[in-house]
Amino acid sequence: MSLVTFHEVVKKYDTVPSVNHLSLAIGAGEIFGLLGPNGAGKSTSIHMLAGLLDIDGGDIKVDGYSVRSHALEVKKRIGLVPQELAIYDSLSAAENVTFFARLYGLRGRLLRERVSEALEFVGLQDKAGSKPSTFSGGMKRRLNIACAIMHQPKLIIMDEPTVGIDPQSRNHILESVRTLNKLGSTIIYTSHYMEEVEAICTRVGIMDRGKLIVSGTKEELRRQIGSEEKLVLEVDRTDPAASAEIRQHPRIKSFTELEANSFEAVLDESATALQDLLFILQKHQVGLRKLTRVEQDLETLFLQLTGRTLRDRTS
Amino acid sequence: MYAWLTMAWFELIRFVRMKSVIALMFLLPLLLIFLLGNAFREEMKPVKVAVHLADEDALGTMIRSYLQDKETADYMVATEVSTEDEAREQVRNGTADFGVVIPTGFSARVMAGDEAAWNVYPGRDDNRNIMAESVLQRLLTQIEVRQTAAAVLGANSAGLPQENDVPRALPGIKTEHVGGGKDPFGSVTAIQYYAGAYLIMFLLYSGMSGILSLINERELGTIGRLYGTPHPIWLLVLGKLTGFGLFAVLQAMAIIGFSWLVYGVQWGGSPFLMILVCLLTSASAVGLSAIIASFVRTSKATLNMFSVLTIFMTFLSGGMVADLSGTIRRIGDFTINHWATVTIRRIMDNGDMDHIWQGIGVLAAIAAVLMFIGAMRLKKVVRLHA
Repeated sequence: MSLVTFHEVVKKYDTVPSVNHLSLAIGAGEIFGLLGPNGAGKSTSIHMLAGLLDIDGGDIKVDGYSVRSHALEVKKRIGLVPQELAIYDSLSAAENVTFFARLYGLRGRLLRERVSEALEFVGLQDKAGSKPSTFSGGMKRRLNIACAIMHQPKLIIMDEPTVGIDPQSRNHILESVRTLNKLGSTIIYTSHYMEEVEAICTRVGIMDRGKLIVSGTKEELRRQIGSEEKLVLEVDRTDPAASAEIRQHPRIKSFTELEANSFEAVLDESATALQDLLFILQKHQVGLRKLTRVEQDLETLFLQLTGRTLRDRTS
Repeated sequence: MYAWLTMAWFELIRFVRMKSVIALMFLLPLLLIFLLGNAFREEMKPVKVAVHLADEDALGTMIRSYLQDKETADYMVATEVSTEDEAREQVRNGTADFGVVIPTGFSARVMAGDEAAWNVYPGRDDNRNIMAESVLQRLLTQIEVRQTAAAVLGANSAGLPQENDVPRALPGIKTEHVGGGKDPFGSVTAIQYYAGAYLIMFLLYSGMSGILSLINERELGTIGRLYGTPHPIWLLVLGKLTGFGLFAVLQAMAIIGFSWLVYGVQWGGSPFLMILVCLLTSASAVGLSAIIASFVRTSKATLNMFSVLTIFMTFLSGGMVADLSGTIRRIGDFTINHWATVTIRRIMDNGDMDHIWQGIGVLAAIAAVLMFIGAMRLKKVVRLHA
């Protein structure tokens, strides 16, 4: 059963659509990774989901409640970990969590218990009384998470929660995401770090230019790119005639020079394409020194679908 | 309610923990009042008055004995001069702080119930003038008692007032300001005047801080998280502003308490009205700063513009220089500071309640208009600083 559904959602800035008829369903218990380069529309989408931005068209429902008509009911069910550090330097770690917990209606003993649990969960129990200004970047990020989970929301939205932190804190956060999911929360995780999404997400959606261009489990997405094979070849010399013949071959999709005597070839799924490639090299007396098969990942799929890389900041 | 109180309480905590805020909002006004109070205290040595007493009748003798009285000498050293010109010259060249001339026939006019007047020559120092006038006011009261007695008892041979012998309307005794200016502080003392002006100026600053805090939430990124909580944004903003309202009350209490304890500044007998004026001033500042913030792009620009405006308004309303000339003073009548300080001075002076409520009414109208426009522009404020 879907916990979150986007139905034909549109968001425009002036007349330019930032999110363009987005439809998407996220099931309860999933860790859904939302991928895309900067400007793809993923932050806008989750801001509309969290009720921070008005929706220009379509609707989003969370646990059966419409964001447009029951925004406050939706907000009760959401814990938002924003991309920016949304914490107060003048309040201690415990006070930060307490402040937001009280805004979610927690009080008395339950409030104290939940604050303590949240700080323990992110490994800041010992720093409860310390001000964030004395924290490292990673500790601040963890406190940022604690402020979003203490009310035990059904849906946790994490907008690039690992930006600019050390590997140790990153691992801690990724492990926290898994644990929160095991404890029953559905997670929406946005990132443009492909490896993070591949490591923790059960399902992935890729956005570009305001549209969801593909979604599915990691295996489903891999199957979409499984029909191609990418190879890196190192040869003893570069022969223009051989290169030209290879490029004209109907089953060899591309043949690109990476550096001197090194090429990348993308072949179609047929086994004969590789045999033909080796034959042409032999015919032109080009010796093959090394042949490496490149593992196809989601980054490749994204590149294939959009012609851009995930971290293309000019997009 | 719980969310509103949470916002207010944590806003107050955050605000009072900022060292710069404590320095600017609490210590600076107290320091200014301290320096000002000390300056006025040093000037409390007896005022030198040149007196030309041309009236040698009954009241002339009474005036002379009053001026030579030991109790009067604690506040005023009176030197008799032979002519009015000499009195005026002594004030002009600074030998005397103040001059007073009692003309010939003064006693006769007073006792006859006719209009009588004496001439005064205020000196260059406003505070010395106030001091001299205060001492002379006591003398004037005694003379008016005599005048009343003469009016009542003079018509009654038994020497006792009869049922129908209500004193006729007396023309009173006029004090003619011949040279110098009028008392710039009105009916309050100089320290009362400036303490009131500073209170209003710093309340305006703390009111502005409410809007700056909202902009800072945006710059910090916490506004998104606050939007994300299950409460309407107006409730959260109201909570924030309530926190600043509480802070304004604390600030007012500190300024009022300090000036009262250290310099005995009297703030009148209506603490409720005083708090009301403080809150209306803060509310006006919130509205005004929201309007400014909706036109400029950064919190720093808002701070700078509002600070300049506050200083201008304080100046124009006479909060920095009490004795402003007519045109500037008239422009000052259109400032928040003017209505707030005038009302505060009326409360300090335990003045007429109608006038006090009139001042509060105008201030409430200013606050309501500014808050309304500020509320209309609030979305713009948040977006501009996004």
